[in-house]
Amino acid sequence: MDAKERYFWDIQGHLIVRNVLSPKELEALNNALDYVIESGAINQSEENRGAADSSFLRGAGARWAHGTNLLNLPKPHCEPVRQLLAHPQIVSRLNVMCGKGFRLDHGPQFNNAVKGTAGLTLHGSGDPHKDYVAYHHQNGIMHVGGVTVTWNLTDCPENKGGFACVPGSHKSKFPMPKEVRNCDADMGTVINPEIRAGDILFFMDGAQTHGTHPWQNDHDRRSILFKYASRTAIRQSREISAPDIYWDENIIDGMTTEQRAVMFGPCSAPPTKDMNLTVEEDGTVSLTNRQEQQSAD
Amino acid sequence: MSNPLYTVSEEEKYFFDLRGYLIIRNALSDADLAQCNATIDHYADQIQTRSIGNGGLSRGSTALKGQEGRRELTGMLGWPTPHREPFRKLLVHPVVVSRLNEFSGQGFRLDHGPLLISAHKGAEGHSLHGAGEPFGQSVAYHQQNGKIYCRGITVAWQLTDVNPGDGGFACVPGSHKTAEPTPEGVRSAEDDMGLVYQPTMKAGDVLFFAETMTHGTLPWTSDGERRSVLYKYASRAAARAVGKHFTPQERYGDWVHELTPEQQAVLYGPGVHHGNRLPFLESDGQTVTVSEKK
Repeated sequence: MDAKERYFWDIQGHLIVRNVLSPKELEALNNALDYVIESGAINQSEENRGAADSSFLRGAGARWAHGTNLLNLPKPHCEPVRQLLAHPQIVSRLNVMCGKGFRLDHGPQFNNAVKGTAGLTLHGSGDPHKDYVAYHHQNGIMHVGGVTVTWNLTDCPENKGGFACVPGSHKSKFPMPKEVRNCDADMGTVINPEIRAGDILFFMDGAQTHGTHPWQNDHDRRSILFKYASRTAIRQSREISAPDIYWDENIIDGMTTEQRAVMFGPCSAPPTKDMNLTVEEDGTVSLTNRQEQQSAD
Repeated sequence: MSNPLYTVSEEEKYFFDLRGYLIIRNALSDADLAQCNATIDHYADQIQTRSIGNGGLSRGSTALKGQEGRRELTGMLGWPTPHREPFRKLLVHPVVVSRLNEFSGQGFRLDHGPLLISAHKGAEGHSLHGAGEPFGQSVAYHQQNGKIYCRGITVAWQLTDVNPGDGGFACVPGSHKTAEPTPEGVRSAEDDMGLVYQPTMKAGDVLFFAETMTHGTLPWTSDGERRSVLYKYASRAAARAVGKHFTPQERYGDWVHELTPEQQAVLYGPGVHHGNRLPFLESDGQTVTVSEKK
């Protein structure tokens, strides 16, 4: 990662590296995704769910996504995906962006779109601060909590849909206007860059504001996303965060719900609110959601 | 009227943001304090004294050296009942929950500990560690738009008195925000530039400190025993300890044996306390290798 790339990454919050995959590698990856589609293991999201209240992002086709771990597809289809996991072009950059010891947090996931597929509202930003994906730069060293690496398998012409972002928003300290989030009046801050088949896109997931514009092309959009994190940041891990899984039995045995609340393992998208505690004026500690439930009753 | 022990005042937030630590006085009742000390007495034969060989925790500092190592005891949360109960009570004590909700955010978690640190007269100190520079992401401190984000915070319950000049916990107030390297004389306390501060605390007080603030221990000089129980908390999505699911096999299953060592290297779990078990990768843009340097 040279000085020009570091400058671009620091100022924009994303980086595109061109022509990394050979035609042969692209073919093998597309074959793997053909297998995924033909095997029927596709999750097709509700039409326009991602567009929410936006007029600009609405579409006519469904948005496709696939949540299965592509690293564990039957052979030979897992092989080209595994080649991407610690590819030299990403290791050289993630060692700089996240620091050595970076790790795969979740994914890889397959994102697909057909002509008319709706967009996805923009999300992530420098404010409110999220410590696990935050961007920080100090004395020439950059520290990014979360970086998504997107391998593009088909061409994404500029302003024809697909990945969109707000350059510089990883440093923002003000709330994002609603019209930027839904792209109905983006103030000229949103870009939808050209990304070609074989290119890699790096972006600061969670820190840089990003989302998806409706897909306007005749050909499918196809990309594979690897969600990396720095050594001590966690973006998911919800499946092993339960106290009984994370700690030894004798430590957890007999604990109250309030004590268990602080014994969950690290994760950023908890499947429960049973880890949030509140203190009453008299010093009583209780689960926040229990209090909310009692208020609702 | 609300009890100030269980609410965080604006003055407390100002002090913690400015200094990097906060002491809440008389947080523990006399009964709870007595129960904690009686339980430690019950397990006294399990307290381990650290070696002072190879420089010890004082790392060879002439200002921090002592005649013996510090004394440690762990495992309190897993002790058989009723011995574990007083330490489980401290785990989510209202004084702690109220402060950590403010400093680390709701959903804060115990990362590791608790650990009893004890010392007898003549025990060595611990060289000062932690600082805003180099930036430590696992324990980073940040403040934005009126809200504090402290990724790593230690809560140290004082079970015995710490008087002026006794030694024990010491810190460099404000150092969680420094962007300059810590001089070696400050780390060793041999030339601390007047920056190192040893707060006075009474049994029953509780100390909160940002792990990124420079801190350590001065040699213990008191005739009385030092007893402090440390709970190491973290914000929801921060990890220092690696937990039980660290290796690729522990996280993903046996199929990861099919991957190359380089591919497996990016599948380890989060955390920095990995005991040199983590392989690091190098790349020249063409090939990836596992680094020898840990």
